Formats: sequence, structure tokens, C-alpha cells
Amino acid sequence: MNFDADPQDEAFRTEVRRFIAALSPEIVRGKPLGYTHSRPEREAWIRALNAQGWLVPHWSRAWGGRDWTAMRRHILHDETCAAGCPEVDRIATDLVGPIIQAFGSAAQQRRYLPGILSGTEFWCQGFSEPQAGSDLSLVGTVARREGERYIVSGRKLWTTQAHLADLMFALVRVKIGNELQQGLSFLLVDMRAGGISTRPVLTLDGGHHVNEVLLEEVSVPRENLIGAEGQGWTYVRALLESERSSAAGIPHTKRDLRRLEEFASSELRHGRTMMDDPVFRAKLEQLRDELHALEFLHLRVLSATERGPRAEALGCVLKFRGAQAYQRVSELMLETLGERSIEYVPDSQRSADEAGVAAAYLFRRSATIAAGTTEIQKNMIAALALEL
Amino acid sequence: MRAAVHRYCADQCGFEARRDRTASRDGDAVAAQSRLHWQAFANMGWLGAALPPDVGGSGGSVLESAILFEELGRAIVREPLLPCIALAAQVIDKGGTAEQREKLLQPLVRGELLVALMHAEARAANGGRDSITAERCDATATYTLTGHKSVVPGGADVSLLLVSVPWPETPDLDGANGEARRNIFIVDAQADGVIRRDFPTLDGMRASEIVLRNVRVDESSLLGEWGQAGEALRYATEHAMLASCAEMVGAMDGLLWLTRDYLRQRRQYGVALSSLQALQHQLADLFAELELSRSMLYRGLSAFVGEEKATRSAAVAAAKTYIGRSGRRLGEAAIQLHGGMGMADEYKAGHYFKRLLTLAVLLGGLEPHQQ
Ligand SMILES: Cc1cc2nc3c(=O)[nH]c(=O)nc-3n(C[C@H](O)[C@H](O)[C@H](O)COP(=O)(O)OP(=O)(O)OC[C@H]3O[C@@H](n4cnc5c(N)ncnc54)[C@H](O)[C@@H]3O)c2cc1C
Repeated sequence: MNFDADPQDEAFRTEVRRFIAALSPEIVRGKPLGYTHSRPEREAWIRALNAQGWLVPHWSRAWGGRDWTAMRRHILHDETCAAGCPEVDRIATDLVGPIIQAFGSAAQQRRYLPGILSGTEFWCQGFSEPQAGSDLSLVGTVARREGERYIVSGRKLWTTQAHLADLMFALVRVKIGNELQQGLSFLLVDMRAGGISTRPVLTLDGGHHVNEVLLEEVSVPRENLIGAEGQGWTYVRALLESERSSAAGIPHTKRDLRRLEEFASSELRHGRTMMDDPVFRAKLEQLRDELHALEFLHLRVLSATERGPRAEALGCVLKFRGAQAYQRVSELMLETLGERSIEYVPDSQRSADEAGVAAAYLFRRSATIAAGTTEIQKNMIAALALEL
Repeated sequence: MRAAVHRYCADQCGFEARRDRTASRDGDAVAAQSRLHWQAFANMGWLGAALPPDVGGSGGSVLESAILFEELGRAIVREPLLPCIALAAQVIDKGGTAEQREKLLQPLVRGELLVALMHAEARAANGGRDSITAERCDATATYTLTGHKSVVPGGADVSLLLVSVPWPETPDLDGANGEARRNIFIVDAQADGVIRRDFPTLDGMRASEIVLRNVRVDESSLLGEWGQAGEALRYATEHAMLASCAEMVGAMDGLLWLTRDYLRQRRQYGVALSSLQALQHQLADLFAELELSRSMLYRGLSAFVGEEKATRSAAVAAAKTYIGRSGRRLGEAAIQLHGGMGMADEYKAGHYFKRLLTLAVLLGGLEPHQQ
């Protein structure tokens, strides 16, 4: 494996910067910390990226993939994040898109992939339920087979962006007659179908990120099933791996480290800036080193040159340590602001970075919970790498 | 006293009521409720628990405050008791003349008057000792107050402000003398030149940013004797720091058992989560945080009561920093142990956590104390 500085990579970095600079500021204008881009803002950004051929470099060539090196993918994410570009719909591009390509029928690919590329269809992930969190084998949403349709009933919880989404991919349990299947099935559900209602679940930061989705006798065509009934788990495994590396949030932490340095250089405490406080400096340097290590771990995981269970465990390390670093940077911001951090500024009124510090800190407590908790990552490391 | 406070909080300050009031947009209804609670606090003698009998108090000490605030922490009560009772009332009691004590503290104990303190801004360039200043005009024997404080808890609820300013001749004098020689002015919160911006805080309560722009007061507004407020200020601040430590310990205690009970009833993988040793160990760590914090509180209380000057301030400051940090760690871990449920604002754990975060940064914050 070779991650030496490659002049081609540096040229690519410059190209990305130029691309961003040439876009309308309406699309990429940097937003303050804690700002949630609106759907139209994200759609415009997705269209621009796709027009450039950069939206889904990791997809198969037939659907716009580019066979990029890990370094290139990393550079693109790093630069777009540093410039404050909106988030693409990663639930679509990184989670369901690859599954549809790998396991979906040709008709399903034609139906769903173009909507992801054009940004016209947003997705949400309907796995967790009130009783099924870490243990997804407890999923209780039932899809009763009736002729050419499934009648779906159940309750999904913590569903990120369900209130913005057009489609959901859900884990369900198929029922034929009176018999409930053992294995889970992977079903695509139109969020506008009758019988679906979405309730916001506000998080500690006061924001609306996640939802409860109630499905009451929702009629879904059988052709919306991915692969075979009862085989959902085999498709999901691959998805969870890719979810882990994008949940590590490394480019975001890098960007926030710069914000933190700005705060600390101007914030006075007892007559000197926080940056001049050796204790604070030491904490900052520790985080910076952790981030360097995480970045290279991320490249190792993305390049996928290492294989086997032990390599899979690297993704788990990346997920939980990456999430902790993402939390850590917001903890240091909180400490930097001191007592001013306790002002609660609602989402819509945050115009400066510092107004979003407490909210960012609070929401990021979920980084070690969502997409597999830290405890679950450690269980997997114990099993995969340590063979316990 | 502990049992009485516990009972009232459990009956009248339940979590559902707190949640609804925090989410409520009907400010008048929330304020009316607050007044009812405040009156009840007065009737039960809480407001004077740590004040002497001559002003209507029950003659208790910081120990009574600690008991009261630990219970308030367990119930996450959202009234401005800390800034008003544990801090400002103590400043008046220790620093005021006999007449001022009677005039201010009696209505305060009856629940009719609320007061908050406006003290140095830690962010200011010289460490904040003179971020608020008073200029004397000899001809009229009046003072003009000017300055700024970014966070005044309770600022929106009070009718009087105690404004702390340095001894004018020695604004940059370091050490004990410089701190001791301060003045405090009693300022009507509605006076001309008092500019207030109220904002909600993380814990569902309110605080204010207050700017004083040429606020005129006369000599009768001086609390106590000229240049003598430093000692009262120190005493009251340490009293309030200990009360806030006790409140954090109460909140930590409440949050630990809430988390333990949640894991007992939550089942995944066919077992109660509380049966998993990885999680039992995390709970054991939190128990250690709680009991070390409680020990640190006792150490602070004993140093404060002991009046051994040299060690007292250091012990109180150490307790505040230690418990603040420990409370944040316990809060973070409790959220983690709840999984998604910990992130839901409609659930109790987050309210404990946010109150802990707020208390940790007020009155001295997480950095080691500089005194
Ligand atoms: C902000 C946010 C966004 C989310 N977005 C989505 C989404 O879009 N779609 C979706 O489907 N889900 C989503 N989730 C749900 C998320 O995947 C779950 O919260 C997570 O899997 C944990 O499940 P749980 O909340 O039920 O916690 P539980 O599984 O009940 O866990 C509680 C605690 O026990 C620990 N624990 C559980 N089992 C074990 C074990 N075997 N060993 C050791 N410790 C254990 C956990 O680590 C945790 O600390 C989101 C969650 C959050 C907070």
C-alpha cells in the first residue's frame, strides 16, 4: 500500500478547489456550525457534483463509477467538507445505491438509481424499531404477502431524515398465511404511500433530525423486494461496512479542528487566549494526532487492500474512534466558550459558529450510538480480530 | 428537611411538568407557574434556609443549602434558586448594613423579591476584574456604572441587581487585597441604562446578557461600607459554588439510577442489558464518579465551615472543578448507555445531562481556578 504524496493527487485537489470556487455561492456558501442544509440546497449541490461526474465515484462504471483510488475519494470529501458544501444524500449514495446495484434487478436499477443521481429522490433507512436497536433480529415490522403485494405494518424509530425522504429501505419480516419468516427481508417503500405517518423525535440539541415512522397496512408492490425473501441480512452486511466508514466523520472533524483553533485564538480567559494555555494546547495536539492516525486508517479501509475478518475489524475501529474524535472536537469547543456555551440558540437563528457549539456538542453524543454503538463495534472487534 | 424537599419536588416538580414547561411557548403561563412554585418555596422555608433568624430565615448554614440543592438537582427543578438564594441573598446577608439586610432579605425570604448578582467577566482582557466599573461624581455624590456581563442566570426574573465593581484606585491590583476591596451597588433592574437580552439556556432555564450604560446610582445604593464588599462576595460565591456542587451531585445520583433502571428493563439479544458485564462495568464507573464527587462535596463543605482561610477557597474551587468534570463525564456515559433513547429530548436523561453541563460551566467553570 502506498500513500505517498502523489503529484496527480495534488493536481486533483487543486481541481476540486477550482470546481468549488467556480460554483455559485448559493450552492456552496459556508454555513455556520450546526447549520442543517435544506433539501433544495442539497439537491442543487448533488446536481452540480453529478454533472461533474463526482457524485458516486465508488459505484459501478455502468452507473457513473470512476474506479478512483482511496486517496482521491478522500480528497474529494475532505475538500468539499472544508469548503462547507452541503452533504449529499449519503443514505442513498453510500447505503442503498450500492445494494441496489449489487442485488437489485435491472428494472429496480432503472427505477431507483437515476433518482439518486439527479438528487430528486431522497432516502431514509428504516431498520431500527422501538424494540430492535443494537439487535436487529428483533425487527417486528411485518410484510404480509397478499397476491402481488405486501401489506406492511410496524413502527420504525430514529429514522434519520424520514421527514425529507421520498423512499425508505426497510427491514421487514415476511408473513405468508399464518407463517412468519425467520430471516429478514429488504423492502423499498414509497414514503407517500397510504398508511405511513411520520412524527418528529426532537434530539437533545432541540433539532429535528430523526423521526418515528408508523406504517399501518401500507400496500407495497412485490417488485419492491430486493433479492429474495428472508435474505435481507446478507445484503445488509455489506451496507453496514460502508455505513461505518462514512459515519466516522473524519473530514468534519478536520474542518472543526480549524474552527476550534479560531475560537481558541480569540477567546480570552483570565487575561490570555485559550491558545496560550498550555493545558488546552496539549489537548488540542492530542486530538490532532488522533486525527492523523484516523485519516490513514480511513485510507487503509477505503483502499480495501487488506482483507478478511481482521480488516473488517479495522472499519469498526474507524467507526468508534472516529466518532469519539468527532465528539472530542466539540467538547473542546464547549470548553473554549466556557459559560457562554450555555446559551441555547434555535437552529434557524444560528448565524455564527459559536452559536452552534452547544447544539453540535449535544447532537454529536449520538455519533457513538447511531450506525452501531461503540459497545457493538467493540463486540465485533473482539469476535473478528481477536477471535474471542 | 431532605424528606420535605424530596416530597414537594416529587409531587409538584415532576419531570412531565418540567418537560411541558420547557417546551411551552406560553411565557405567561410558565411565569405564573414559576410564581406559584416560588411562593411554595417561601412557605416551606427554603428561601431562608441558610439565612439567620433576624431576617426571617431558619438559621441554617451552607449544610442546609447543600441538602436543599441536592434534592433540587435530583428533581431538575427549573427555578432560579441558585443565583438568587445561594448567591445574591448571601452577598446581602454578609455584606449589607443592618438596615439593608432587613429591607432586602425579609421580602426575599417571603418570596416577594428576587435578586441576582452581576460579577466580573472571565473573558475580559485583564481577567475581568474591571469589566464593570463605577465612576464617582463628587459634586452630586453619585456613581455612574458601566460594563458588561454575558451570562447572568436569573437576570430575567429579578427586580434588583447587585453589581460588583473593583476598588477604583486599584483596578489591577493582584491577589487577595485587590479582590477583597470591592464595592457592590444595588441597582434597580429596570433603571435607565440597564440593557438586558434574555435568552434560553441549555437546561431549559433562562439567563441574560446585561449591559450597563451609564447607570446612575447614589451613595445609598452602596451595599455595606465603602470598599468592604470583597469578603462578602467571596463568601457568597463559595457558598453558591458548594450549592451548585450539591445540585450536581443530586443530578448525578438521579441520572445514575435512572440509567441502571433503564438497562434493567431494556432487552436485546435475548437478555436484559443490565446483565452484560461490559455495561455493568460502565455503571460501576459512574457509581465511582458519583461517590467521589459526593466526597469532594463533603471536603468542600468541611473546609468552608472550618473557616481555615488558606485552604477553604482552594478546597471549594477544587470541588467545583472536579464535580463539574465528573458530572459531564457521567452525563455523557449515561446518554451512551441509553442508546437512542438517551438522545430523545422528551426523555428525562437528557434533561439531567443538560443541567449538569450548565452547572459545570457556571460559577468558575471547568478550568482550574486561578485564585
Ligand atoms: C441520531 C440518530 C440517528 C439514527 N438514525 C437511524 C436511521 O436513520 N435508521 C435506523 O434504522 N436507525 C437509526 N438510528 C438508530 C441506531 O441505529 C440505534 O440507536 C442503535 O443501533 C442503538 O440501538 P438502541 O438505540 O435501541 O440502543 P440499545 O440497543 O437498546 O442499546 C442501549 C445500550 O446498550 C448497549 N448494548 C446493547 N447491546 C449490547 C451488547 N450486546 N454488548 C454491550 N453493550 C450493548 C449499547 O451500546 C447502548 O449503550 C439512529 C440513532 C440516532 C441516535
